[in-house]
Amino acid sequence: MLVLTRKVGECLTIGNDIKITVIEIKGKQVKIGVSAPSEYIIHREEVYNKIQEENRLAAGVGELDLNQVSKLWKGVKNRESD
Amino acid sequence: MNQIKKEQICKNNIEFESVRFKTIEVEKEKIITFPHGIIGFPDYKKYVMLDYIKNTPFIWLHSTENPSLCFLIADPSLLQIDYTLSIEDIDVENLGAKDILQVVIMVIITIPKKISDMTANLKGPIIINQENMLANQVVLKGDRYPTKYSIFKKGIAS
Repeated sequence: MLVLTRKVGECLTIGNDIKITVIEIKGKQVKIGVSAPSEYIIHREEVYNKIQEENRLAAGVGELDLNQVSKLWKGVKNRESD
Repeated sequence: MNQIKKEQICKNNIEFESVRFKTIEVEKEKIITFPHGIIGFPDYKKYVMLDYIKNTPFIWLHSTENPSLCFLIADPSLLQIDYTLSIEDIDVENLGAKDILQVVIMVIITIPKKISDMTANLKGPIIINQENMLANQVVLKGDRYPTKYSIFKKGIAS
């Protein structure tokens, strides 16, 4: 990994179109600004990983007993109309 | 005469393979394009919605490019979940939409071994612009919504 030291207000550029700015440092927190073309999607890593894990679980749905799904759903509907 | 008619129908349709449903034929205009894919599956960008589970809000979102890739999704309002997203939450311009009313919001369902424990991912909804069939999975900021919301127990699942 490339490690660089920057001060508040200083930037890094990556390639031609990505710019990372150190906006503020407060104790252990650093506020960072990223400007990049819209084809780059920027996420907080831990949140991104959580969504990715949830998607993988969701995509792993095996044989599904549709009758059971319908039944459970009917139960919800009935409960609400009571 | 009949043959010409058949060819015309096929021209507007595509056929793809599915592990779950064998061969699926759908109209080309029903194909939804995720320019970035779905998070964790960046290589697959084309999906269709299959309304195969009658009398429930659940719909299959099936990849046309990977026979084994499909998700169960649902409209959160039909699941009776209190779920309100604003224009600050989702970048609709990215999908070529002018306002939030132009897009459809769906949530991905996860089904554990016990079906009654199924959850909806409210943190990473799928946004579809039905005008141009572009879609995106967005990640909501903050802790307002969980990745596992229990549909039948109505609350955050562990």
